[in-house]
Amino acid sequence: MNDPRDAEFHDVDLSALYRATRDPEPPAWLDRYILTAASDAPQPSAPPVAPRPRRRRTRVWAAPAALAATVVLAVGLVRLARETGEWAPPPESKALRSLAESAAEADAGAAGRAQSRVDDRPPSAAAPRPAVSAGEAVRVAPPSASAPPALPAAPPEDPMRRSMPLQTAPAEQERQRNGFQAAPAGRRADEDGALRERQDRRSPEEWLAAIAELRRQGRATEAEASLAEFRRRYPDYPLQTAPEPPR
Amino acid sequence: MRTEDDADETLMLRYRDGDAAAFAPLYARHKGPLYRYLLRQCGRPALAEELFQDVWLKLIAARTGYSVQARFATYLYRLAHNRLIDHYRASRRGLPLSYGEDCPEWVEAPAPAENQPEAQDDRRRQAERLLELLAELPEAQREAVLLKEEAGLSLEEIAQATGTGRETVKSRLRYAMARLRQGLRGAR
Repeated sequence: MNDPRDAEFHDVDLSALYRATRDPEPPAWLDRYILTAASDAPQPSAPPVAPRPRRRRTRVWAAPAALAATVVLAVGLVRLARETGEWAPPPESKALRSLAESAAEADAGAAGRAQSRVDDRPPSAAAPRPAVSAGEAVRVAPPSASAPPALPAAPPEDPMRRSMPLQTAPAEQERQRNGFQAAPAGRRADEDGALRERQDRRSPEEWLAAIAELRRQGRATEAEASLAEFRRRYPDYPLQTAPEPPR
Repeated sequence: MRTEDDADETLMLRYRDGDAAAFAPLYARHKGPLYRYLLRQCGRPALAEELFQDVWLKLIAARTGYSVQARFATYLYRLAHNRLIDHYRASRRGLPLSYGEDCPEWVEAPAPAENQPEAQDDRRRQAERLLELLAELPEAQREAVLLKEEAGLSLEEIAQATGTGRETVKSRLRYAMARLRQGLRGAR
Protein backbone atom coordinates (compact mmCIF):
# COMPACT_ATOMS: atom_id res chain seq x y z
CA MET A 1 0.00 0.00 0.00
CA ASN A 2 2.72 2.48 -0.90
CA ASP A 3 0.69 4.11 -3.61
CA PRO A 4 -0.24 7.64 -2.40
CA ARG A 5 -3.57 7.22 -4.10
CA ASP A 6 -4.33 4.47 -1.56
CA ALA A 7 -3.80 6.77 1.42
CA GLU A 8 -7.48 7.33 1.97
CA PHE A 9 -7.88 3.60 2.55
CA HIS A 10 -5.00 3.30 4.97
CA ASP A 11 -6.21 3.56 8.56
CA VAL A 12 -3.25 3.23 10.91
CA ASP A 13 -5.35 2.46 13.97
CA LEU A 14 -7.44 -0.07 12.15
CA SER A 15 -4.37 -1.80 10.74
CA ALA A 16 -2.72 -1.90 14.17
CA LEU A 17 -5.82 -3.38 15.69
CA TYR A 18 -6.00 -5.96 12.93
CA ARG A 19 -2.38 -6.96 13.50
CA ALA A 20 -3.29 -7.81 17.07
CA THR A 21 -5.54 -10.53 15.68
CA ARG A 22 -2.83 -12.30 13.74
CA ASP A 23 -2.77 -15.44 15.76
CA PRO A 24 -3.98 -18.26 13.62
CA GLU A 25 -1.32 -20.18 11.73
CA PRO A 26 -1.67 -23.31 9.69
CA PRO A 27 -1.18 -26.48 11.72
CA ALA A 28 2.27 -28.05 11.79
CA TRP A 29 1.17 -31.19 9.99
CA LEU A 30 -0.01 -29.04 7.10
CA ASP A 31 3.35 -27.29 6.98
CA ARG A 32 5.15 -30.63 6.80
CA TYR A 33 2.79 -31.94 4.17
CA ILE A 34 3.24 -28.97 1.88
CA LEU A 35 7.01 -28.75 2.35
CA THR A 36 7.31 -32.46 1.62
CA ALA A 37 5.17 -32.09 -1.47
CA ALA A 38 7.32 -29.21 -2.64
CA SER A 39 10.58 -31.09 -2.18
CA ASP A 40 9.22 -34.31 -3.65
CA ALA A 41 7.90 -32.64 -6.76
CA PRO A 42 9.84 -33.87 -9.75
CA GLN A 43 12.52 -31.39 -10.53
CA PRO A 44 12.12 -29.87 -13.91
CA SER A 45 14.72 -30.71 -16.45
CA ALA A 46 16.84 -28.06 -18.03
CA PRO A 47 14.89 -25.54 -20.04
CA PRO A 48 14.28 -26.86 -23.52
CA VAL A 49 16.87 -25.72 -25.98
CA ALA A 50 16.65 -25.52 -29.71
CA PRO A 51 18.94 -28.43 -30.63
CA ARG A 52 16.94 -30.89 -28.59
CA PRO A 53 14.20 -31.66 -31.15
CA ARG A 54 16.80 -31.72 -33.87
CA ARG A 55 18.84 -34.25 -31.97
CA ARG A 56 15.79 -36.39 -31.36
CA ARG A 57 14.92 -36.18 -35.04
CA THR A 58 18.45 -37.26 -35.88
CA ARG A 59 18.19 -40.14 -33.48
CA VAL A 60 14.90 -41.20 -35.04
CA TRP A 61 16.31 -41.23 -38.56
CA ALA A 62 19.77 -42.53 -37.75
CA ALA A 63 18.91 -46.21 -37.72
CA PRO A 64 16.82 -46.26 -40.94
CA ALA A 65 19.39 -44.10 -42.72
CA ALA A 66 22.22 -46.37 -41.67
CA LEU A 67 20.24 -49.42 -42.76
CA ALA A 68 19.43 -47.88 -46.13
CA ALA A 69 23.06 -46.89 -46.67
CA THR A 70 24.19 -50.41 -45.81
CA VAL A 71 21.72 -51.96 -48.26
CA VAL A 72 22.69 -49.57 -51.04
CA LEU A 73 26.38 -50.23 -50.45
CA ALA A 74 25.90 -53.98 -50.38
CA VAL A 75 23.83 -54.02 -53.57
CA GLY A 76 26.34 -51.77 -55.27
CA LEU A 77 29.23 -54.01 -54.32
CA VAL A 78 27.42 -57.11 -55.53
CA ARG A 79 26.55 -55.51 -58.83
CA LEU A 80 30.06 -54.21 -59.31
CA ALA A 81 31.54 -57.58 -58.50
CA ARG A 82 29.26 -59.31 -60.98
CA GLU A 83 29.95 -56.79 -63.71
CA THR A 84 33.69 -57.09 -63.27
CA GLY A 85 33.56 -60.88 -63.13
CA GLU A 86 34.82 -60.99 -59.59
CA TRP A 87 32.53 -63.85 -58.71
CA ALA A 88 32.71 -65.70 -62.07
CA PRO A 89 35.71 -67.35 -63.65
CA PRO A 90 37.05 -65.23 -66.46
CA PRO A 91 36.94 -66.87 -69.84
CA GLU A 92 40.72 -66.59 -70.28
CA SER A 93 41.23 -68.58 -67.17
CA LYS A 94 39.13 -71.45 -68.48
CA ALA A 95 40.75 -71.34 -71.87
CA LEU A 96 44.32 -71.27 -70.65
CA ARG A 97 43.72 -74.02 -68.13
CA SER A 98 42.19 -76.06 -70.89
CA LEU A 99 45.23 -75.40 -72.99
CA ALA A 100 47.50 -76.52 -70.20
CA GLU A 101 45.56 -79.72 -69.82
CA SER A 102 45.69 -80.44 -73.51
CA ALA A 103 49.38 -79.71 -73.85
CA ALA A 104 50.05 -83.18 -75.16
CA GLU A 105 47.95 -82.45 -78.19
CA ALA A 106 50.27 -79.76 -79.42
CA ASP A 107 52.03 -80.63 -82.68
CA ALA A 108 55.25 -79.31 -83.98
CA GLY A 109 53.84 -78.81 -87.44
CA ALA A 110 51.49 -76.13 -86.31
CA ALA A 111 54.38 -74.41 -84.63
CA GLY A 112 56.32 -74.41 -87.81
CA ARG A 113 53.44 -72.94 -89.76
CA ALA A 114 52.99 -70.26 -87.20
CA GLN A 115 56.70 -69.49 -87.32
CA SER A 116 56.59 -69.04 -91.05
CA ARG A 117 53.59 -66.71 -90.77
CA VAL A 118 55.42 -64.60 -88.26
CA ASP A 119 58.41 -64.26 -90.55
CA ASP A 120 56.22 -63.07 -93.43
CA ARG A 121 54.36 -60.36 -91.51
CA PRO A 122 55.52 -56.69 -91.52
CA PRO A 123 56.21 -55.13 -88.15
CA SER A 124 53.55 -52.91 -86.65
CA ALA A 125 54.42 -49.77 -84.78
CA ALA A 126 51.16 -49.85 -82.86
CA ALA A 127 51.87 -53.14 -81.21
CA PRO A 128 51.76 -52.97 -77.44
CA ARG A 129 54.94 -53.83 -75.64
CA PRO A 130 54.14 -56.75 -73.39
CA ALA A 131 55.04 -56.77 -69.82
CA VAL A 132 57.51 -59.28 -68.50
CA SER A 133 57.37 -61.50 -65.53
CA ALA A 134 59.96 -61.74 -62.84
CA GLY A 135 62.85 -63.90 -63.88
CA GLU A 136 61.58 -64.56 -67.36
CA ALA A 137 60.56 -62.44 -70.23
CA VAL A 138 59.75 -63.13 -73.77
CA ARG A 139 60.94 -61.31 -76.80
CA VAL A 140 57.81 -60.54 -78.65
CA ALA A 141 57.61 -59.62 -82.25
CA PRO A 142 55.06 -56.92 -83.00
CA PRO A 143 51.77 -58.38 -84.22
CA SER A 144 50.51 -57.39 -87.58
CA ALA A 145 47.23 -55.72 -88.31
CA SER A 146 46.16 -58.64 -90.41
CA ALA A 147 46.68 -61.15 -87.70
CA PRO A 148 43.70 -63.26 -86.79
CA PRO A 149 41.71 -62.16 -83.78
CA ALA A 150 43.34 -63.10 -80.55
CA LEU A 151 41.68 -64.40 -77.46
CA PRO A 152 39.48 -61.78 -75.81
CA ALA A 153 41.63 -59.57 -73.72
CA ALA A 154 41.34 -60.04 -70.03
CA PRO A 155 39.27 -57.36 -68.39
CA PRO A 156 41.29 -54.63 -66.73
CA GLU A 157 42.15 -55.45 -63.22
CA ASP A 158 39.70 -53.98 -60.83
CA PRO A 159 41.32 -51.98 -58.03
CA MET A 160 38.77 -53.42 -55.66
CA ARG A 161 39.79 -56.88 -56.70
CA ARG A 162 43.40 -56.05 -55.94
CA SER A 163 42.42 -54.70 -52.54
CA MET A 164 40.37 -57.74 -51.65
CA PRO A 165 42.47 -60.66 -52.82
CA LEU A 166 41.46 -62.94 -50.02
CA GLN A 167 37.78 -62.21 -50.02
CA THR A 168 37.06 -65.55 -51.62
CA ALA A 169 38.02 -68.58 -49.66
CA PRO A 170 40.72 -70.81 -51.21
CA ALA A 171 38.25 -73.59 -51.81
CA GLU A 172 35.89 -71.14 -53.42
CA GLN A 173 38.70 -69.75 -55.59
CA GLU A 174 39.58 -73.25 -56.69
CA ARG A 175 35.97 -73.95 -57.44
CA GLN A 176 35.74 -70.75 -59.46
CA ARG A 177 38.89 -71.55 -61.38
CA ASN A 178 37.52 -74.97 -62.14
CA GLY A 179 33.98 -73.78 -62.46
CA PHE A 180 33.64 -75.36 -65.84
CA GLN A 181 34.12 -78.77 -64.23
CA ALA A 182 30.63 -78.54 -62.90
CA ALA A 183 29.31 -77.97 -66.38
CA PRO A 184 28.10 -80.91 -68.43
CA ALA A 185 30.86 -82.90 -70.11
CA GLY A 186 29.60 -82.18 -73.62
CA ARG A 187 29.51 -78.50 -73.05
CA ARG A 188 33.00 -78.50 -71.59
CA ALA A 189 34.35 -80.36 -74.59
CA ASP A 190 32.75 -77.86 -76.91
CA GLU A 191 34.28 -74.94 -75.04
CA ASP A 192 37.71 -76.55 -75.05
CA GLY A 193 37.49 -77.17 -78.75
CA ALA A 194 36.49 -73.61 -79.48
CA LEU A 195 39.33 -72.24 -77.42
CA ARG A 196 41.84 -74.54 -79.00
CA GLU A 197 40.62 -73.46 -82.39
CA ARG A 198 41.00 -69.80 -81.47
CA GLN A 199 44.49 -70.40 -80.14
CA ASP A 200 45.46 -72.26 -83.27
CA ARG A 201 44.45 -69.30 -85.34
CA ARG A 202 46.39 -66.65 -83.43
CA SER A 203 49.99 -65.84 -84.07
CA PRO A 204 52.83 -66.60 -81.62
CA GLU A 205 53.23 -62.88 -81.00
CA GLU A 206 49.60 -62.53 -79.99
CA TRP A 207 49.91 -65.58 -77.82
CA LEU A 208 52.98 -64.19 -76.08
CA ALA A 209 51.22 -60.86 -75.64
CA ALA A 210 48.33 -62.68 -73.97
CA ILE A 211 50.83 -64.48 -71.69
CA ALA A 212 52.43 -61.17 -70.80
CA GLU A 213 49.02 -59.70 -70.04
CA LEU A 214 48.28 -62.62 -67.76
CA ARG A 215 51.52 -61.99 -65.90
CA ARG A 216 50.78 -58.32 -65.69
CA GLN A 217 47.48 -59.18 -64.06
CA GLY A 218 49.23 -61.38 -61.57
CA ARG A 219 47.78 -64.62 -62.92
CA ALA A 220 51.11 -66.39 -62.87
CA THR A 221 49.79 -69.97 -62.87
CA GLU A 222 47.72 -69.41 -65.97
CA ALA A 223 50.58 -67.60 -67.62
CA GLU A 224 52.95 -70.51 -66.90
CA ALA A 225 50.47 -73.01 -68.25
CA SER A 226 49.95 -70.96 -71.36
CA LEU A 227 53.69 -70.55 -71.80
CA ALA A 228 54.23 -74.29 -71.46
CA GLU A 229 51.60 -74.86 -74.11
CA PHE A 230 53.26 -72.22 -76.25
CA ARG A 231 56.61 -73.99 -75.92
CA ARG A 232 55.03 -77.24 -76.95
CA ARG A 233 53.45 -75.58 -79.93
CA TYR A 234 56.46 -73.52 -80.89
CA PRO A 235 59.57 -75.26 -79.51
CA ASP A 236 61.84 -73.30 -81.83
CA TYR A 237 60.45 -69.87 -81.07
CA PRO A 238 63.24 -67.76 -79.54
CA LEU A 239 62.51 -66.72 -75.96
CA GLN A 240 64.87 -64.76 -73.81
CA THR A 241 64.99 -63.60 -70.24
CA ALA A 242 64.95 -59.91 -69.59
CA PRO A 243 64.73 -57.82 -66.49
CA GLU A 244 61.27 -56.77 -65.45
CA PRO A 245 60.52 -53.22 -66.55
CA PRO A 246 59.71 -50.73 -63.88
CA ARG A 247 56.06 -50.36 -63.15
CA MET B 1 15.28 -5.88 4.61
CA ARG B 2 14.96 -8.22 1.69
CA THR B 3 17.66 -8.24 -0.90
CA GLU B 4 17.39 -9.13 -4.52
CA ASP B 5 18.58 -12.67 -3.78
CA ASP B 6 15.88 -13.49 -1.26
CA ALA B 7 13.04 -11.63 -2.89
CA ASP B 8 9.88 -13.67 -3.34
CA GLU B 9 10.19 -13.65 -7.09
CA THR B 10 13.83 -14.78 -7.00
CA LEU B 11 13.00 -17.63 -4.65
CA MET B 12 10.14 -18.75 -6.84
CA LEU B 13 12.31 -18.64 -9.94
CA ARG B 14 14.94 -20.72 -8.17
CA TYR B 15 12.30 -23.20 -7.11
CA ARG B 16 10.96 -23.32 -10.65
CA ASP B 17 14.46 -24.09 -11.91
CA GLY B 18 14.92 -27.02 -9.54
CA ASP B 19 16.19 -25.50 -6.31
CA ALA B 20 13.83 -27.22 -3.87
CA ALA B 21 15.40 -25.44 -0.91
CA ALA B 22 14.13 -22.10 -2.19
CA PHE B 23 10.56 -23.09 -1.44
CA ALA B 24 10.88 -23.24 2.34
CA PRO B 25 11.56 -19.53 2.96
CA LEU B 26 8.88 -18.61 0.47
CA TYR B 27 6.38 -20.79 2.28
CA ALA B 28 7.40 -19.50 5.72
CA ARG B 29 6.96 -15.96 4.54
CA HIS B 30 3.44 -16.37 3.18
CA LYS B 31 1.84 -19.25 5.01
CA GLY B 32 0.37 -17.19 7.90
CA PRO B 33 -1.19 -14.39 5.88
CA LEU B 34 -2.56 -16.80 3.32
CA TYR B 35 -4.01 -19.08 5.95
CA ARG B 36 -5.70 -16.19 7.76
CA TYR B 37 -7.01 -14.82 4.49
CA LEU B 38 -8.65 -18.14 3.73
CA LEU B 39 -9.80 -18.75 7.29
CA ARG B 40 -11.49 -15.38 7.57
CA GLN B 41 -13.02 -15.64 4.19
CA CYS B 42 -14.57 -19.07 4.70
CA GLY B 43 -14.91 -19.00 8.49
CA ARG B 44 -14.11 -22.68 9.19
CA PRO B 45 -10.61 -23.91 10.07
CA ALA B 46 -11.05 -27.31 8.43
CA LEU B 47 -12.18 -25.74 5.19
CA ALA B 48 -9.44 -23.14 5.40
CA GLU B 49 -6.83 -25.89 5.74
CA GLU B 50 -8.22 -27.67 2.70
CA LEU B 51 -8.19 -24.51 0.62
CA PHE B 52 -4.75 -23.58 1.94
CA GLN B 53 -3.37 -26.96 0.92
CA ASP B 54 -4.97 -26.73 -2.50
CA VAL B 55 -3.47 -23.33 -3.17
CA TRP B 56 0.08 -24.40 -2.32
CA LEU B 57 -0.21 -27.63 -4.24
CA LYS B 58 -1.47 -25.67 -7.20
CA LEU B 59 1.52 -23.37 -6.89
CA ILE B 60 3.87 -26.35 -6.79
CA ALA B 61 2.22 -27.94 -9.81
CA ALA B 62 2.31 -24.73 -11.82
CA ARG B 63 5.87 -23.81 -10.92
CA THR B 64 7.30 -24.66 -14.34
CA GLY B 65 5.09 -22.05 -15.97
CA TYR B 66 5.92 -19.30 -13.51
CA SER B 67 7.36 -16.08 -14.80
CA VAL B 68 7.72 -12.74 -13.09
CA GLN B 69 4.88 -10.62 -14.36
CA ALA B 70 3.86 -9.14 -11.04
CA ARG B 71 4.75 -9.43 -7.38
CA PHE B 72 4.80 -12.99 -6.14
CA ALA B 73 2.16 -12.11 -3.53
CA THR B 74 -0.19 -11.00 -6.29
CA TYR B 75 0.40 -14.28 -8.08
CA LEU B 76 -0.16 -16.32 -4.92
CA TYR B 77 -3.34 -14.53 -3.92
CA ARG B 78 -4.65 -14.77 -7.42
CA LEU B 79 -4.44 -18.54 -7.02
CA ALA B 80 -6.09 -18.28 -3.61
CA HIS B 81 -8.88 -16.03 -4.87
CA ASN B 82 -9.62 -18.41 -7.74
CA ARG B 83 -9.73 -21.37 -5.37
CA LEU B 84 -12.03 -19.46 -3.09
CA ILE B 85 -14.38 -18.56 -5.94
CA ASP B 86 -14.44 -22.22 -6.98
CA HIS B 87 -15.40 -23.10 -3.44
CA TYR B 88 -18.19 -20.52 -3.40
CA ARG B 89 -19.54 -21.73 -6.71
CA ALA B 90 -19.49 -25.34 -5.58
CA SER B 91 -21.32 -24.52 -2.37
CA ARG B 92 -25.10 -24.55 -2.01
CA ARG B 93 -25.14 -20.80 -1.58
CA GLY B 94 -23.23 -20.11 -4.77
CA LEU B 95 -21.12 -17.10 -5.54
CA PRO B 96 -21.90 -14.31 -3.05
CA LEU B 97 -23.73 -11.32 -4.41
CA SER B 98 -21.04 -9.01 -3.10
CA TYR B 99 -18.80 -10.10 -5.97
CA GLY B 100 -21.11 -8.36 -8.40
CA GLU B 101 -20.01 -5.01 -9.69
CA ASP B 102 -23.14 -3.26 -8.35
CA CYS B 103 -23.67 -5.04 -5.12
CA PRO B 104 -26.85 -4.01 -3.21
CA GLU B 105 -25.33 -5.36 -0.01
CA TRP B 106 -23.01 -2.38 0.07
CA VAL B 107 -25.84 -0.02 0.92
CA GLU B 108 -28.47 -2.35 2.32
CA ALA B 109 -26.33 -4.06 4.92
CA PRO B 110 -27.33 -2.94 8.44
CA ALA B 111 -24.89 -0.83 10.29
CA PRO B 112 -23.00 -2.73 12.95
CA ALA B 113 -23.90 -2.19 16.57
CA GLU B 114 -21.52 0.05 18.46
CA ASN B 115 -19.33 -1.48 21.09
CA GLN B 116 -20.45 -1.53 24.63
CA PRO B 117 -18.57 0.96 26.85
CA GLU B 118 -17.49 -1.72 29.30
CA ALA B 119 -15.37 -3.42 26.66
CA GLN B 120 -13.71 -0.34 25.28
CA ASP B 121 -10.62 -0.57 27.43
CA ASP B 122 -9.88 -4.09 26.45
CA ARG B 123 -7.60 -4.08 23.40
CA ARG B 124 -8.00 -7.72 22.97
CA ARG B 125 -11.70 -7.47 22.93
CA GLN B 126 -11.45 -4.64 20.43
CA ALA B 127 -9.52 -6.92 18.16
CA GLU B 128 -12.10 -9.62 18.57
CA ARG B 129 -14.76 -7.08 17.77
CA LEU B 130 -12.85 -6.15 14.65
CA LEU B 131 -12.90 -9.76 13.58
CA GLU B 132 -16.60 -9.96 14.22
CA LEU B 133 -17.14 -6.87 12.13
CA LEU B 134 -14.91 -8.27 9.46
CA ALA B 135 -16.89 -11.49 9.36
CA GLU B 136 -20.10 -9.52 8.93
CA LEU B 137 -18.79 -7.75 5.83
CA PRO B 138 -19.86 -8.97 2.43
CA GLU B 139 -17.30 -11.45 1.07
CA ALA B 140 -15.94 -9.19 -1.64
CA GLN B 141 -15.41 -6.30 0.79
CA ARG B 142 -13.88 -8.57 3.37
CA GLU B 143 -11.54 -10.02 0.78
CA ALA B 144 -10.39 -6.55 -0.19
CA VAL B 145 -9.60 -5.70 3.43
CA LEU B 146 -7.77 -9.00 3.98
CA LEU B 147 -5.72 -8.62 0.84
CA LYS B 148 -4.77 -5.15 1.97
CA GLU B 149 -4.00 -6.01 5.58
CA GLU B 150 -2.67 -9.57 5.32
CA ALA B 151 -1.01 -9.66 1.93
CA GLY B 152 -0.08 -6.00 1.82
CA LEU B 153 -1.36 -5.58 -1.72
CA SER B 154 -2.04 -2.19 -3.23
CA LEU B 155 -5.35 -1.33 -4.83
CA GLU B 156 -3.90 -2.14 -8.21
CA GLU B 157 -2.60 -5.48 -6.99
CA ILE B 158 -5.89 -6.32 -5.30
CA ALA B 159 -7.59 -5.63 -8.60
CA GLN B 160 -5.16 -7.97 -10.36
CA ALA B 161 -5.54 -10.70 -7.76
CA THR B 162 -9.31 -10.61 -7.76
CA GLY B 163 -9.74 -9.97 -11.46
CA THR B 164 -11.69 -6.77 -11.02
CA GLY B 165 -11.16 -3.13 -11.80
CA ARG B 166 -9.32 -0.72 -9.61
CA GLU B 167 -12.44 1.39 -9.08
CA THR B 168 -14.38 -1.64 -7.91
CA VAL B 169 -11.69 -2.37 -5.37
CA LYS B 170 -11.82 1.22 -4.18
CA SER B 171 -15.57 1.03 -3.71
CA ARG B 172 -15.32 -2.23 -1.80
CA LEU B 173 -12.60 -0.90 0.44
CA ARG B 174 -14.36 2.37 1.04
CA TYR B 175 -17.53 0.69 2.20
CA ALA B 176 -15.62 -1.89 4.23
CA MET B 177 -13.51 0.68 6.08
CA ALA B 178 -16.54 2.80 6.81
CA ARG B 179 -18.39 -0.15 8.34
CA LEU B 180 -15.42 -1.22 10.41
CA ARG B 181 -14.87 2.30 11.74
CA GLN B 182 -18.52 2.64 12.51
CA GLY B 183 -18.53 -0.65 14.39
CA LEU B 184 -15.43 0.25 16.38
CA ARG B 185 -16.39 3.82 17.01
CA GLY B 186 -17.06 3.34 20.64
CA ALA B 187 -13.74 1.58 21.13
CA ARG B 188 -11.56 4.47 20.08
